[in-house]
Amino acid sequence: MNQVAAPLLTPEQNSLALWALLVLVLPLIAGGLLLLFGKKLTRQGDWLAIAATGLAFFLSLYLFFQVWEKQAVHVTWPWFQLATGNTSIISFTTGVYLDNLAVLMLVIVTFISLLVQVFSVIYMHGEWRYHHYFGYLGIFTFSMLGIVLSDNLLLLFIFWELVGFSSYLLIGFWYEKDAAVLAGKKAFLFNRVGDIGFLFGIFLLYTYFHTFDLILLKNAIASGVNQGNNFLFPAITGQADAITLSYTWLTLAGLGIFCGCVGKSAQFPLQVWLPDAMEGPTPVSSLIHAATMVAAGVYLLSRCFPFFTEDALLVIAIIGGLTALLGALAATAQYDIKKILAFSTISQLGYMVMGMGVGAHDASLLHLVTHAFFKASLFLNAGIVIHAMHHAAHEFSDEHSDVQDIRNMGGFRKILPFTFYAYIPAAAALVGLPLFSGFLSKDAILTGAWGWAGFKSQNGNLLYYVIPVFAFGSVLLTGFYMAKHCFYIFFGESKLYKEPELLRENKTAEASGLLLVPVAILAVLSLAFFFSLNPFNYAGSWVMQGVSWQKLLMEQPGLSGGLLPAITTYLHEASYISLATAILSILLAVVGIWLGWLSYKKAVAAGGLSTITAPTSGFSRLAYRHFYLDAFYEKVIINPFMRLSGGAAAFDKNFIDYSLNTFAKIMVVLAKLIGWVDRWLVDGTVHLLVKVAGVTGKLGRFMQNGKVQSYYIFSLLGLILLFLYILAF
Amino acid sequence: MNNIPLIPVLLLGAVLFCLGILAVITKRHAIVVLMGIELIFNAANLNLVAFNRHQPDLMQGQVFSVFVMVIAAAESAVALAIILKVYSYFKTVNLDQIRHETDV
Repeated sequence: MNQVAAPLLTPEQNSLALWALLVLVLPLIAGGLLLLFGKKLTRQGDWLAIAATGLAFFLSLYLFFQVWEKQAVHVTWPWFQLATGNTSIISFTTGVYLDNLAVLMLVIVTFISLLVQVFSVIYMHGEWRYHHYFGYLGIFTFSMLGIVLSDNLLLLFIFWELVGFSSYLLIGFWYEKDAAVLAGKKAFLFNRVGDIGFLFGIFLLYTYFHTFDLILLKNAIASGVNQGNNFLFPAITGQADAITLSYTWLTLAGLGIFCGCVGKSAQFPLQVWLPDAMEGPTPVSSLIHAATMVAAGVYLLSRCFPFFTEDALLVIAIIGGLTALLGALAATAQYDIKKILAFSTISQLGYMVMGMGVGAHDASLLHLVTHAFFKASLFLNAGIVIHAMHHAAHEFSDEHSDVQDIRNMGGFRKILPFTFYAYIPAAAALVGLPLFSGFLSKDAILTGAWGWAGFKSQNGNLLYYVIPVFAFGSVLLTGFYMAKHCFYIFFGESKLYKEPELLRENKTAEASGLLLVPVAILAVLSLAFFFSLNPFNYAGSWVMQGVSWQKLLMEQPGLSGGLLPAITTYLHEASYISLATAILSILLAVVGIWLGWLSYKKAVAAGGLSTITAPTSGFSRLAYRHFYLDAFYEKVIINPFMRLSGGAAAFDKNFIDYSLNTFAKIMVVLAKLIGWVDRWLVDGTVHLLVKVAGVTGKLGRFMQNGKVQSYYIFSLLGLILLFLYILAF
Repeated sequence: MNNIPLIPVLLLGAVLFCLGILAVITKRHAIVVLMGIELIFNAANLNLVAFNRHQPDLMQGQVFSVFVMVIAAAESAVALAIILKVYSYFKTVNLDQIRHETDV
């Protein structure tokens, strides 16, 4: 392995890169082995998957302590070469890039993957494709780590697609269910829509900069100079010419990359696939559709942050804010335990994307980290509850009740106390109560958003305040739906199954230890203490300091150049904002919880808990149906498309197939005719000749019968004939 | 005696000839076939004698019939010898059963 672009590599950095590659391939090897030979291994090989992921996690920790706040490692290797028309050769490199962000993501991905796999040992116990499940998880972990480690956009895109593919496999894991198959297909297709934009963005960047290498791109863009409507960039290492590029094209390139994020991170208008993805096994929802994969879009935004112009960032902020609000609104009307969490995930991802858009790059990443822990925890909790409900439903031979409907639950505080106490910190973190991790990150984003709006609206245009208002509105709604979620599941009395013992594993333990330990670890990690020594001050958080935009800008200022320092200055001058957002968000969250409590009380009083009905009021119907986005796509895109394809099929059948068939029929008739001629004329002549020869032969044989007397007769006849001939002529 | 017409004699010769042929064709016994051949000879001789009667100048008909008789005698001797040989070989003189089946 010879390095091309980076001659200053120390052997130590080289070995770090090799360790990173090992982390990358460990889950792949385990996954591949499980898919091929899983059935033959003891316990179907779950220990192999867990051991590989565990090893990857410890190696990631080692890498983390080697790289975090110390050094960035960028090792490249030649990948492939392409010849161009004019004898020159374009070389592509591949490589590993380890900086604070990458090692942080490495640790999170491997850690949550490890916990989820431990959880799955019990949760997926007895599945007939148990080893496939762990194999798929291995492939997913590999792909996700690939996204994190890639140093160039092309490689990143390949892993991006692989992640989508493994997500498809896992959503459709129970492919016996039609809903799971449809959900997998939907997720895959909606991601493709975003990926087209992503590819477009990559192509745009490549067309102008002739490299996929993220570091080279960043360096080039960092040293760009604004010239009127154009940006002037210096030549990239190894290339001759300086690059001039118009502002519009750069904005479009940034929006293209953002499209990838819209698909993968379930942003408006492509977010509809995520709720359906809940058809997959719950641990998968926890790992992929809450903690890691959907955060890949946010990770991508962060990696490409310097490529975004101010206009692109504005679009990102609007989409993010809108998604946050829509997700939270939809969550309020849901009653499926997992759907509520899914819409909440959409809403939280909206926060992160909005954070990126308003320039709170570091706050957004902090939220990514804290969200990964508390949302994974919430999903695993939901998994335990669903597991318990399934257990009871099985005991009662109840096949009709919806075991995922929170209106069928209740009283789990006493039945599953451990789960309840693990649930509370995670839910509190999601709502954003102080002392919990979500408070820190949400506060950071809200402050950023408010500061951004304040800075932008200095010219008097107060429309910019819509974004922070959306964000604060989502805080209120989050409190509301999580309070409902919590009260319906854990308070009151068990509605469907009256005997609590049936919901528990046995008399002494509420659930298997392998289910409870990962949940407990994640719940503990939902405390703010782990992210910042002062749980009220996000600025002191080690994560924030590690990935802070000041650090980012020091290295690479990016296209939006002066925007971030200006916002910081503004925030610094208006120091009341930080305090005000904290107080306001706590207040809103508490009000939200109180409203949730009222709504729960009202439902109890109305006796609405035992009757499962579809929502009646206009707004709740709208929210329950997710603003009819699915119906909209169905009407506007899918139906016309189906009609088009139906028309094409009809044209195919009635015109192309018909003419082909007619032609074929004519050919058959012709062939029959030729066949007849062949049989009766050609073959007939031959047969006639054969017959003649046969008859002649028979005659000859008849005369040559070996009897002297007949010979005599024939010669006599011959003589007579001779006489007759002579007489006649 | 002198005015025996020619045609009835020739007709008699033809009948004799046909009978001879009939015997040759239909009879199974080789010696009977030989007798048929003798009949044919005699039919010819009758013709010759009848023609001689109408043109007696050189006695050609009579001489020829004498030749025919001699040849017929010789022929009969040869034929009988062959029949004897055939009998010793095939153990029969039934013409239907005599087949030199080389192709079996």
